[in-house]
Amino acid sequence: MKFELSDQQQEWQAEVRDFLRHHLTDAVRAEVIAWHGHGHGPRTRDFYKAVADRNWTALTWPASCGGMERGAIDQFILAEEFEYAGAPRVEMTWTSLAPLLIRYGTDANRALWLEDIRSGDILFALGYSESEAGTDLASLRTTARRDGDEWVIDGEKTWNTGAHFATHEWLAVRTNAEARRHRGISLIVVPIGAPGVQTYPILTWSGVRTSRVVFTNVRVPADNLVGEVDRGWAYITGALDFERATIGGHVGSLRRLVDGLVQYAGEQKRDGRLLRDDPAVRSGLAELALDVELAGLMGLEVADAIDRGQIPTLPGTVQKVFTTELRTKVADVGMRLLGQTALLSEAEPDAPLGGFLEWTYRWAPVQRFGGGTNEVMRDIIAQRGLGLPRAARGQGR
Amino acid sequence: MDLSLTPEQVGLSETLQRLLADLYPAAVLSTDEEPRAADRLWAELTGSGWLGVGVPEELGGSGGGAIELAIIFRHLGRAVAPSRYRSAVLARLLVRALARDDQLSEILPVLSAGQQTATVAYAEDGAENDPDHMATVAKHDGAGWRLSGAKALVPDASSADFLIVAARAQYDGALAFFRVNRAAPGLSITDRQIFSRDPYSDVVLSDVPADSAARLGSGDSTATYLRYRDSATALTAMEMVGSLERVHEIMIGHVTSRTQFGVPVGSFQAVQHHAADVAIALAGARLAAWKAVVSHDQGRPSAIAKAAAGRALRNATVLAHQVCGGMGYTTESPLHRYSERAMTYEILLGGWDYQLERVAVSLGL
Repeated sequence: MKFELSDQQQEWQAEVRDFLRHHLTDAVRAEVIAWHGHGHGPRTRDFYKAVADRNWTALTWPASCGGMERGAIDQFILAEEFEYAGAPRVEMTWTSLAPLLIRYGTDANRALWLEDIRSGDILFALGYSESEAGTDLASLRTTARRDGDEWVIDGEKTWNTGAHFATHEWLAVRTNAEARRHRGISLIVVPIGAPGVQTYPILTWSGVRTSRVVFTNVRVPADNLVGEVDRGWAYITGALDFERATIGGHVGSLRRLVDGLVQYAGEQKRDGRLLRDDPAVRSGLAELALDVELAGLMGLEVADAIDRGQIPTLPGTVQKVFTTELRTKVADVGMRLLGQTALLSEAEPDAPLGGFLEWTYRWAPVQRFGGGTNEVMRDIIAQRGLGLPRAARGQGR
Repeated sequence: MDLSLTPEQVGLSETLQRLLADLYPAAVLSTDEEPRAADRLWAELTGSGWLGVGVPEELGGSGGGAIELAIIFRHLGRAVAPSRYRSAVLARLLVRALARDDQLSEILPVLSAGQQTATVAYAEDGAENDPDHMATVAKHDGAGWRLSGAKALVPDASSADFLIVAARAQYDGALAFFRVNRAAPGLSITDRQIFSRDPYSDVVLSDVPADSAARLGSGDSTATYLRYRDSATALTAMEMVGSLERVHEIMIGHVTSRTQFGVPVGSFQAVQHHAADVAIALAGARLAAWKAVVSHDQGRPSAIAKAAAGRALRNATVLAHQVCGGMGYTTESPLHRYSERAMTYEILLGGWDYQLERVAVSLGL
């Protein structure tokens, strides 16, 4: 039992920090804030190029696929350092979808995409949700029909974040109308420039743009189907166990918020005294720091489990719920502690914490319902983690 | 980084679980059998080297370190076992932190073998946590000392052979600790009934003589005491985590077997979410407690661990009472014992607000 990073892990952390000192310029940071990390401006592209040059896009991949064969703890360290520093996000195409291709994909799949993912030339937009298939993802209706050497795709996806800057859609489609719900779903990759793909923007409260994407008679080669036909549900849920850990695992930004609040409380006066001399501020910030510590430990536990070859369903789901709800709490408590200056928009240059706090207040809700609502996450913890009986649900199909 | 226990540590954990299930099962709690079970458990803990865990063999102990000790505390917490072992081990930790080498070689083997037990007499009505407000005084008396003051709710004082008494030394105001025999003249012990039934006593010292050899260590012991207190706080957090694990199991066991409306109550989503919330809090509290146990500087980690464990355990007992309903509310159910413990250990060594203030200081606030 040891919580400190090993010498090798500390060296890795230092290497990542050194990289950020050189490549994460103020200009990149400003672009990240302007795009909220959910898009690739020119400076972000340069930054990603530098990441790819070091092969950090393939950090955990096997050497046979051009990867560095590093563990999940190293991936966790990379993501934490990037987030704490305010760098462009570590793309899930690298950390979640590529590993899925490596594990379940065909040789043809890997030959088609892996090298371009590694170099940063391919980025997937995740096309799972539909207007009538959100939390109940297995009821999705977008279809792919086999026609000779091609698949023909028809349907509509929503909450398709990244569709306006990614190169490819990573779609969940129905390939078998006869099979029950989960059994007739496949994953398929569609170039966003393919004829018949139309993208419509959806603007959200956080300023992050997402999209509705319509597919009309879109044709892709047969090799674009990931792995085996009708096996998509197993791939999706397998990846989600890891993905939830990533969605929840944004502890670096929480740490940045708490550190920013602590600094602010030591400098700012209200009603004649420094904020830090107010007992309510002290206990409020201490509670946030305590919870952020717990969230970080949960993240390490997930990474530790992955490095032991376990599928982190329970710790990953636990962490997703805890960390996403903590984000709400940090924004809520933090803004109240700051007082009226907290109301300044991120558009104001003198907004406290660079406006990151008020943006977090607006961004936090999506974390709680995205990647599986926290209600379903609690069902999973209770049923798959604790062995409680399945709760009654609607009939589905 | 490595978050796993060694196979030997897992083996120790399994041995303890069996031992406690055998000697101190939940069925004896709150029955006439409980005192006899407590005596049998104590005989095993003193007779089989358990008191020496965490002390090197050359000092009369059984070897093992902080992790092994934490495993024992966790299982005692699971079983809501009597506080006697805990009090004895905490006193031993304080002795080891304070004592000079000659004192160590005299006292530690006796404590490690269970030939004698001690308890820490620290808290006073006006000074529960902060040593600055200690009112018990030690006056010079020739080569020795005389102690006067009142200690409040000293754990296991009436069964301990001696007390480790905290006092302010005359003239220099140093925080000093003295080994005082329970039968020393001028020492009076009054047992107090507290709601969680563990044995606590008020201790009044009226000019109690203590020779110079009875003073453990020398100079001001504040820093040493606070370091000891961090260790004690970390172990307490682990004991609370053990209780929390058991409360969670009781909760899950009940909602799995109890049916209403023709289905197990655990199939209802609201009930499942209570169980999931306890699982989430447990995951955080357990990690924080382990980190506190193995940290070199235990200050901040122990504050976080105890605050997290206390919050999680108090909340879990409330939720467990809720989902277990009347069946968890009878004295036949062990649940009330965990609820009593939850608040007892929440308060001892400083509660939520005290620990948060320690975290605030660690942040530089």
